[in-house]
Amino acid sequence: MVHTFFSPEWFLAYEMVLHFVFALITIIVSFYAFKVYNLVRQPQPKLFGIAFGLFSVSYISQFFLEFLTITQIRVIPIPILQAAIERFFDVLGIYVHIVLFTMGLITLTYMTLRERSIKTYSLLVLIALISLFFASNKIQLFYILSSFLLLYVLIHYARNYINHKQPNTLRGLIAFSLLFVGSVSVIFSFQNEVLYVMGHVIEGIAYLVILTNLILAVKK
Amino acid sequence: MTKKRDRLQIIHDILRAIQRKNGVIKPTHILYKSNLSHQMLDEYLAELLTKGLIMESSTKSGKTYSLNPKGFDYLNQYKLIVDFVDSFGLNEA
Repeated sequence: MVHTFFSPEWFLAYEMVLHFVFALITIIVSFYAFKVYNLVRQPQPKLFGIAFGLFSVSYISQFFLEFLTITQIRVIPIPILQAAIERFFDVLGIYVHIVLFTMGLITLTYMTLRERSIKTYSLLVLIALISLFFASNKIQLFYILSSFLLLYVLIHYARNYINHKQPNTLRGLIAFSLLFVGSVSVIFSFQNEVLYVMGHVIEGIAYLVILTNLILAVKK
Repeated sequence: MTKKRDRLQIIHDILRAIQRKNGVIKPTHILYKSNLSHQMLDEYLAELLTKGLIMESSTKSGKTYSLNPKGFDYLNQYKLIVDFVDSFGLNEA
């Protein structure tokens, strides 16, 4: 759970709810991406579906581990054991989230590239995961890495908007711009915890824009 | 329009042409309706067969093509496909 490192205590319950909502939105997007893939059999919807599926699992795991931490705190009477268990779920939660979310972002970035090769994909995954494994400040590196990957994804959506100036492509650009801004905001949250909250709120708005885009696309 | 949109549109046009001929059509009619070269049409038909959208049958008068249930799905879901692809930037990079 991120709150051990950056998040203010009062935000913990809100954060848990946000992660649940993010998990729901991303799994719905993933479902429709695979539905489209099933009809067109092109790599882009498949990769998009995999990326959002990984995001969803990362949010679900974070949600459950946050939930476990909160409930464990209440049932364990021994403070030192309570603290140890809380710490265990904290660390497990953040690492599962980091690995799955990074893989999701790499899949999304890979989708935007012209290159289609398992070597390129595995290279990106290995570089990111090895860097994270050996980093002394894993969480900060995770947000820095996420911001760079989101920047590449953002360039793709900017180009998509330039090529198709339509409301739906603009919403796509806005959503990924917000995800990028939210991620950058969290990088600096060790200086001010308000930035952590702000990052999550911005992320929430981004997912609402993505959900709006999806609803408008699905609507007959 | 991007290459991807063109492909989605062309596939839609081919499937729609088959549907309008009561679900069974000869390749020459598809060629006329889809406005493609012979080579391009062969490539698209091969792709549609591989993807399970259409079915090929041989008759005395030559080959005919008909829609599979997945082909009907494609036509019904075409708006969703195009809107989803555009909204989430899934055009071919």
